[in-house]
Amino acid sequence: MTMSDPPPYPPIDPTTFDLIIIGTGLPASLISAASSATGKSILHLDPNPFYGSHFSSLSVPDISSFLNSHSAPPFNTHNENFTLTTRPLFSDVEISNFAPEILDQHLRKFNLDLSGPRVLFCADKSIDLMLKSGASQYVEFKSVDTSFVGDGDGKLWSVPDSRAAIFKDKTLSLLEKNQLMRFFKLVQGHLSNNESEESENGEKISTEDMESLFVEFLTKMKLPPKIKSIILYAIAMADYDQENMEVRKGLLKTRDGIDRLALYIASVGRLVSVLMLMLMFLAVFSS
Amino acid sequence: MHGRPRKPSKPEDEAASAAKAQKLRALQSQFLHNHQNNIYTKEAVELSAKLLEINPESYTAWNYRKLAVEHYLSLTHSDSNPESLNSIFQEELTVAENALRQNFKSYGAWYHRKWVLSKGHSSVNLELRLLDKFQKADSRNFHAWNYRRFVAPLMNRSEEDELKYTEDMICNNFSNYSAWHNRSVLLSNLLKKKADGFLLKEKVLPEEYEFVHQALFTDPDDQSGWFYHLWLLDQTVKVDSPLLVSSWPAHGYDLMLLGDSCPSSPFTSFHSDSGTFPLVLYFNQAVEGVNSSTVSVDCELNTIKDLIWKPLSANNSQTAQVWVTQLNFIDVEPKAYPVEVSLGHSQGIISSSGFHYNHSRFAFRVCVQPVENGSAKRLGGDVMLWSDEKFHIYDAHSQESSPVISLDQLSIQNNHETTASEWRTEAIAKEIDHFRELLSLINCKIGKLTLARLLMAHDTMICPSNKTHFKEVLELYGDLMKLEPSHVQYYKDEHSLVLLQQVTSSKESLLNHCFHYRNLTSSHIGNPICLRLNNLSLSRVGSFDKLLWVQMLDLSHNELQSIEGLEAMQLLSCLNLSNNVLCSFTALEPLRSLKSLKVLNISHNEIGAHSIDTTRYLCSSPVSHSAGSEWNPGEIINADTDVKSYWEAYFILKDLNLTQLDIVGNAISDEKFKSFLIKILHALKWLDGERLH
Repeated sequence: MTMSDPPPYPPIDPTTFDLIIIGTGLPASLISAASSATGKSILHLDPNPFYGSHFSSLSVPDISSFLNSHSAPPFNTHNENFTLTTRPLFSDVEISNFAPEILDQHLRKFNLDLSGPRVLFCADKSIDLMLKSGASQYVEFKSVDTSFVGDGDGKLWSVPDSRAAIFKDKTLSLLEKNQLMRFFKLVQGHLSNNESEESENGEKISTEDMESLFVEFLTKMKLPPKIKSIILYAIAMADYDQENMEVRKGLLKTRDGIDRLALYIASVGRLVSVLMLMLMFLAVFSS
Repeated sequence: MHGRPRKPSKPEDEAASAAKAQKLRALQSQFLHNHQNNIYTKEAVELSAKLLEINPESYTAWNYRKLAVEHYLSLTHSDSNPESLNSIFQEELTVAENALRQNFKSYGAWYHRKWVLSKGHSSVNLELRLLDKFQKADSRNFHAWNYRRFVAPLMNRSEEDELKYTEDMICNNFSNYSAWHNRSVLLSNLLKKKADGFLLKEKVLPEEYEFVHQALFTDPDDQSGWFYHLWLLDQTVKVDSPLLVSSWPAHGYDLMLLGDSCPSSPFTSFHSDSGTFPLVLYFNQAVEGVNSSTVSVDCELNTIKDLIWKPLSANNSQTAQVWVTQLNFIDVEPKAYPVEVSLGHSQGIISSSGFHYNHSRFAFRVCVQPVENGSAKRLGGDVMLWSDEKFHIYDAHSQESSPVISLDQLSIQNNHETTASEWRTEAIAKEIDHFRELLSLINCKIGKLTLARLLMAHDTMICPSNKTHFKEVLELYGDLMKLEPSHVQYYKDEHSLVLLQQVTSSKESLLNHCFHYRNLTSSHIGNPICLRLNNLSLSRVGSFDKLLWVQMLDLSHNELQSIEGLEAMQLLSCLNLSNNVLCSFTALEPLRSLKSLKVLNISHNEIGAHSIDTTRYLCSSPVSHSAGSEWNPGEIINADTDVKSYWEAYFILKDLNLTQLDIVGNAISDEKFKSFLIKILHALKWLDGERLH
């Protein structure tokens, strides 16, 4: 599939609709699915030659042409009834290929998500929503086999996110294993204490700590830097640099961090190692 | 499986189970009718299958099926068609599998399956697939693991593959006792066979330590890994061949055998009326086969023949850690006799795990002293008083007359150093570092206990240790007592044993507990040395290998419930056990082996205060075990009523030659009991400090 020559579209009939939705990303699809379920007539359009907008995963050649075409300056499409402004997704795109041969060799083996990994926790509420709205019929879920976290030196570390994974991990020292597991237990104890007020046997995180920054709380728990980054970025999935105090953007509070860990734990269970679901967007269609 | 809360049953469940019981009852009675009348028709056999599918715990039904199989085998024998043989057994496998589906913890079903396979007519190829299914459903199910150990060799599956399987299971979830256990079984076999890659313990064990550390550090609260670690520690410390730890008399010893004179050294003299003295061998583990052909005792060119060696064991078995015989020097010319003892020159001394004792020898001298006429009375004629003012600290330097003997001589310096090879000490030292690190992070009870065990293992390996860890170990056990009151007795026992090891570890510390007994009214029979281990909060006694020389022992004001092991101290003549918590006469059973015992103080204990004698459960040597062989039932029937009501006291004390006994302050001790004692103890001169007439 190339983006330069879109095939000629058949004429659209009927010509009036209750709702016209542009873009086939997840939110747009949910709206159109929900509206058609209530009996509205909907026209669902997408400027891209593929479904899913930036919820899609593309092969390497497709992704570079997508990136290029979406970094153009904004342009307006005029019509007698409305003006449609297309804003670029990316302000500046620079594509470089460090190992063309290797890439060529393995080109067919993987797709890349357009905008970051579409990873959802099993226990995430949006999963329930997708099931309820029926949107799940157009979506394929795949469980995450392994996750890695990259350090500053470009090295990948597997994420020890369960008891068995910590046990098997070859990169953590014995003491780091102990510290990480103890932190998990602390969170687990805190959560189970929250559920049942009367049981006071487990440890509980103080209100003061809950309002502090998550990264500071982790430091206070004497966790070494490597474990901190595993918890912050691979498990709590923080989007922004938590240790850059100058920018101070998107910093998680302990409360948020614990909430995310709670979601993680609810998804992991205690012993099961399947934790996250990768969203593979197939097609969202509505009539 | 595990950790599931029990829910109260709902009414509809109860109705269902009532209906099930109704159906089961009908099946059961029909089945029993068939069984009793040996009916093995097709319908009858099918009925038993139906019964087993509902209730796999019906052992009678399993046995009936075995009978039915034998019945059909006898019928098919003539045409001997392998096809029909197969189908008979295949049917049994199906029934067993269905039963296991109903309850995969059914002993009967697993056993039936084993029985079928052991007949050798069925293929074992499908067994692993079946097992995988059950082990996936519950990875800790020990029935499945047990069956796996049975099936794997039948399938010629290598032990290496099975070992890898345990590793995989442990990686899935290391909280799995069965997997760790199976690993220890497989490794033991592989090490014993010296299989490829398992030739050297020093190669295999460090890797296993590394593996189990992952579990211990990830979750120290999970116990399964700790059990494996304890097994590893045992494998590291254990020396296969039995060793002689100490003896009395020890190597290089100058034994003064006294008729009636003053001893020149209180440590090496032994007073004997009869001219005999015990020769005691103390091994590091229980051994059998100590007798006059495996141990020879040579004295002045003559071999002392036909010595009778007795095992000092609690349960009358012919296996014991301590063996004793009596050497006889009656009517010999007063002079010094060199004696040489040689052990294991012919094979026969074997440990309980089947390892032979290596040959060794030791020598000592017996100096027989002339009997002096008209010398003073001996101990026993006078009352022995245990009060503090009678004891004077032993000062080695003030003993001008006696050459100061080395206390190190009192126990054998074995060739321990060579057997405890370097890798063992290295492995233990590494473990110590690891657990010190863990404990610096967290407060972990089992970690502390493990560290204490490791430190003691380290100290015993490095024999003349220049830096011992007693203080640290005692602190660890002290902590544990506070941390875990429910196991305080165990920690107290361990604390006591370590404390005694500390006391006996050096000459200096032992001398701090050595006192002269001086009684003004008595003569100077040598101001005997008394080892005073009183007021030490001991709940157990140990380190007997270093105390074989002791003739006078004060264990009063401790917390002793048992005196297990005291039977090794064959020279004991005076023993103070007052103010302890001994609960019954059965707790005093070791005294029965102490033939030299003359003075015994068991006052202020709790004998007779408890209606239930817990010694029988606590102590590995309850009287009930030993009673059987030497107890003459006629004796008790014909005995008077007193013997019947005090039979335990009678059993313990009747063969002792006590001259002095203190028993006041026990619930049992009333006038009636005291008159009973006077009746059975013929040599008794003093009872509760009163002279008897």
